[in-house]
Amino acid sequence: MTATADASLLAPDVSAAEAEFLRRKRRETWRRRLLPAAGILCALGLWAALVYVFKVPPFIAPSPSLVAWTLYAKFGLLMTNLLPTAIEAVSGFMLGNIAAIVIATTFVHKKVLEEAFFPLVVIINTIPVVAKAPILVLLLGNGMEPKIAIAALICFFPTLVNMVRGLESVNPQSMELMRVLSASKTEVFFKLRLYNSLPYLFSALKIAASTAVIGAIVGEWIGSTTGIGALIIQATYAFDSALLYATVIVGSCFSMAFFLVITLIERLVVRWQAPVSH
Amino acid sequence: MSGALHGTAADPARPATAPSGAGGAVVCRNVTVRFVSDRRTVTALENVSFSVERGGFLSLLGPSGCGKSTLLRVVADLVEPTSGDVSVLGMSPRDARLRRSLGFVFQDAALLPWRTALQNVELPLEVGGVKTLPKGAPTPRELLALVGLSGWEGSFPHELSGGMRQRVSIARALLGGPRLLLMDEPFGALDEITRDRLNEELRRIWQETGTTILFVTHSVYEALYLGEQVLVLAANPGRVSDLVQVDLPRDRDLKIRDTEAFVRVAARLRESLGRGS
Repeated sequence: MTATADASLLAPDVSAAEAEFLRRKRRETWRRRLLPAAGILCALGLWAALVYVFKVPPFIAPSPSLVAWTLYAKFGLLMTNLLPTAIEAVSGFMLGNIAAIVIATTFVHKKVLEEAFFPLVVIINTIPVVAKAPILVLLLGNGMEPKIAIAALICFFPTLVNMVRGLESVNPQSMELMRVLSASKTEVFFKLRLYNSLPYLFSALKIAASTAVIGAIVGEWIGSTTGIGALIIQATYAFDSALLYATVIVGSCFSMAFFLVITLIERLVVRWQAPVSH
Repeated sequence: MSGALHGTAADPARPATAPSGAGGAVVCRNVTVRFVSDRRTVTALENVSFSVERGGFLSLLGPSGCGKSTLLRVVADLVEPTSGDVSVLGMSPRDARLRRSLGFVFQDAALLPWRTALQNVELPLEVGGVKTLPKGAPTPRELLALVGLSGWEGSFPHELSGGMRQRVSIARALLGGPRLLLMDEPFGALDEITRDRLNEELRRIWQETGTTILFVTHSVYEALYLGEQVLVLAANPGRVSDLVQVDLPRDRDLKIRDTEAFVRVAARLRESLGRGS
């Protein structure tokens, strides 16, 4: 009797608290979605106001509406220029990362090679991209190859370092376990090291996704007639600020999309970590 | 240090130095392990001799740094002894390892985080030379049931509690029916309540499977509750300080720890520990 009385006393309280909790959680979710959008809108408004109030001429800086109009009117031009940049960035990304993964695997199995060549890799990495670009253009000509090479080089280093670390930073007790089980070197690699390296690999790939695009664009600055990089240079020399801004937006949208794709693949592949709360 | 070996040394503390070799599950004779580094040489174990009969349960008890984990690793062929003989089930430790005659349970469970509980237990069938279960040996699912984890087969390690992870690790070590189970402070990182429960279950599993167990711990109560014998080690250098026969009934529950017999042996163990340090 008393127990049921207690329950009926408690129940409305609990459900009210639960409803309140859910309501607050929903509000929190919306806040998290709306506030960044509000921030962006605010910046756009400020930009438009500044251009309007100070009467900034369109060859110095365009208004947001003019950029939006250019994005619409010159969509075809922007897309024809995005295509080569995208091909260069993605192929460079693939090439650089595959090379890094293969070399990291070799380093882990042959310490001598790691000791001999790792310093060289570090030295090559210290050369700024802008300095590497002309060298590669001389070597590889004016086509897509030098841009792919630059994008590949820029991806290569962080992936190599992270992959080596991921393959080597195996829990010592897991290594002992593999020895107790008399696992071969190949089995240790495929059952232990490779999986262990995946979270490290993906954090490098996410960085590489945006830097590959930077590499391709920088490559296009030097001797190229098509691509986002070339369009940036042309628009700048032509004082076509609206086209310049539109090009930059297209480039960064592509970069973001690339990053998102890698993040999605990571979620599908690396499923074992407890989800990180933001 | 050596001066502390006075008085009570009249105990039958002399460990049985190498009895008849073939019969024991593990026989160690004068095992010495030295680790040489740039600065100095560390003697982890010096002249350690002991033996465990088949189906026995030996607890290795000692302070940290007494080399008890090293001793376990010598038996598992993870550490090469500097000198001395080790025989595991009448073979060299290497052969015993290659034939999967021993299972090892690590302190931190050492589960692979990308594998589910069931996949972790199945790992021994995917690596090494032994890729099939012996006839009649329990399957991975049955072993998970044995350690009380039916229904958790598909869970990943991060979804399991510390005690459950260690149960999975025990199930994995039992796969293939090893005749020797080596356990390196498996419950050291668990809370006392979980540890008590797992101690009870380990006794049950030992009785059900009949495998020989070597169990490393630094808890007097755990050593005594679990073991049929307790080998007490002293540190600097690691050496045998006492071997105690535990005359408690085979069927034990945790309440036995409050009995007079238990308390008396516990006092003896503590005294041996004190003498060794």
